[in-house]
Amino acid sequence: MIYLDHNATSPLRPAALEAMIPWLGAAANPFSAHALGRAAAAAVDRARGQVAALAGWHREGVYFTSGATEANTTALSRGRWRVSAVEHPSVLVWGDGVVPVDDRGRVVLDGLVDALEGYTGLSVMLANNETGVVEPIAELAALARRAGVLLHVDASQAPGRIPLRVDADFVTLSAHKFGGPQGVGALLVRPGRAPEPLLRGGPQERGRRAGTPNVAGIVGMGAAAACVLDAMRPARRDRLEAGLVALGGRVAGAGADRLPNTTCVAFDGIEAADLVMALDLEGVAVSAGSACASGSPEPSHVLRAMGFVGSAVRFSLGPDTTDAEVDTATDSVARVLARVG
Amino acid sequence: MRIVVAMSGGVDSSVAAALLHEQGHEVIGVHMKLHDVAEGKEAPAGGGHCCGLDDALDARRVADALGIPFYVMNLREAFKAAVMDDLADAYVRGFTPNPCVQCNGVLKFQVLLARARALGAEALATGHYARTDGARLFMAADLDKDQSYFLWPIRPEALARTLFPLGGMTKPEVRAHAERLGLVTAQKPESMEVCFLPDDDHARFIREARPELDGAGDIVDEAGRVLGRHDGYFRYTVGQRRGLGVAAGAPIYVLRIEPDTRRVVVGPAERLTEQGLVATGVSWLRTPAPGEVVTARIRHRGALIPCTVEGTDPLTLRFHAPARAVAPGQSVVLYAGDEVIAGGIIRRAALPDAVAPVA
Repeated sequence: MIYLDHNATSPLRPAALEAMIPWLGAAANPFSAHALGRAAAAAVDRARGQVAALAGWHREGVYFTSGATEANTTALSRGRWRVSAVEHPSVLVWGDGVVPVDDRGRVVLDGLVDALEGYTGLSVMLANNETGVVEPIAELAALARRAGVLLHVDASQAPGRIPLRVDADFVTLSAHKFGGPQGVGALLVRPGRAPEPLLRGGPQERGRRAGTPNVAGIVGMGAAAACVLDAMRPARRDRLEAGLVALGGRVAGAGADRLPNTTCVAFDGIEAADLVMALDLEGVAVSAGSACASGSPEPSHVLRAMGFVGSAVRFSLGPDTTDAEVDTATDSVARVLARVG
Repeated sequence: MRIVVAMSGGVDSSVAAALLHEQGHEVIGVHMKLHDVAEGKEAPAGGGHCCGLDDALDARRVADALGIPFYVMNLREAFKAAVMDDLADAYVRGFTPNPCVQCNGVLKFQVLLARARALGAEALATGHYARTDGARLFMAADLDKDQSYFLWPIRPEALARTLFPLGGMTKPEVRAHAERLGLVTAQKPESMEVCFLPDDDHARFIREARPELDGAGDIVDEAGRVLGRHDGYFRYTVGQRRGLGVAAGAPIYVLRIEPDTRRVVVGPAERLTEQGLVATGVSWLRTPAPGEVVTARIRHRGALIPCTVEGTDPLTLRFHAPARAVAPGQSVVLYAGDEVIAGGIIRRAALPDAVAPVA
């Protein structure tokens, strides 16, 4: 199986797995006073430092969560937030007003300061999960400051792909997008902005997130953070994209600054959902849009917001994807298109 | 051979997939998601929805147990356009439509077949009880379960790429296979209702699809005398006897539905008999040979009525003996022996005067 769906989840890095193994079998409650508990607390603290280092954040501002959805919910479930039209659904649900994007998927800055009047904050992702389009976070940060509102940035897709230096009040991270385990993420919080806890009844995460920490998961996230590259090079994605465009593919967000591992491509004559299934049967794992409970893909709100016509398939590469793999994937697409042409 | 099997989550399509898999074919399970069961409207006890989440899960469990790929295809828009919109229109016009026929003709044997081709499949299989030799369409071996009546719109070129693995089997045999194979759907109850009309409550469907429509009106006899009131003409079907709420000496039946006046015309059984019918939207699978004996079926499980073809499109049939309750909107299927040779949508009973020298 050629795995080109790293934006959905990226496999656990061996270093993360290795770091986790001892903790999966350990009696390790970091809030226990005994030696085993202290060891666990030290491990969690070390991971906190590793995640802080990845993001250039201060260690005390790193709050571990069960993943990006919990981090987004913690940041956004209080107050009144304006969110971009291309956000992940776990952000969109908290949006009380939407910021449109242009045809390349970039947030429209004109008039945004006025549009933030009366809002608690603005939430815009660092890079889009479907198209890979990178949003102008530096400009948005300045703009939010001018408007006097908070800025939340869902940076789930960024680590290991583009530098993660974000000037924001809240930043969401997800471990399994960069080689850590599933079920763990973090909310990075600027000093003085500590969020109201979602889960109460315990002192964990400085009282901001009650519940025994997922020690093995947190250790895995830290280990993955410590070994991700600061940035990926786009050459392999470009090679794939050129091949797909040669087959008639139209790239969503073409011309915009995009993640170096992502290309989102529509082909005339075949629904993205069918291409995903056909490629699965060819041994190539990709995806289209997001999936509803029964597994049936819905039209993408991201592409709709960009005014992109048609349904598109997302190819998202990982750090170990090879030229041979992207060439094989391109050949598979060509074979499928030949059936429907 | 790579074969896509349409898996509803019921026992029939589960066994169809399992048998083809057992025969060594490369089987791909596909569940068609056709509609949503709207929130707040619970599925009836015991399920029965072909497209609810539970049925998709059952289909997935069967596919997982067989070790075959399984996909859910979102066909909601196509289903709405091809089936649901027409269905509401047909009821408004006073017809008694058959959505399963439309779904087979368009969704399964056009849209799904095309998508199966994109998956590299040479054939599409379903759990229908019918038989095909790749060129012709026949009744199932089990005449009690025969579903050929619902399959007439299938085109010959689609038939060439269609398999009905259950066509030669009886329902108990199918259940026995399901038990033998340990399929989770083995004991699932039969679903008799239209998949998106819980409890077959089509009146509710029309109220929701056409909320502005006021269908209430009079129940009248053929002389126009008002015998009672009804709260929606679209609730009635030609030949219907029960649920009229009208007291009359002899049993009375719905003879006609008049959407313009919203009247439901009723009368005694003998006024229900017709000499023939005219049908449109006709699909011919083959032309009958000269002198070939043909029969018509005008409702699911209805009798086979010997008849003469007096026109091919519109399909004009003369019954050799009067037949009861010709309901506009229902399908008429023309058989030669056990072979389906044509079908169409009944537009009206009786024959046009030009070809109908009715005594």
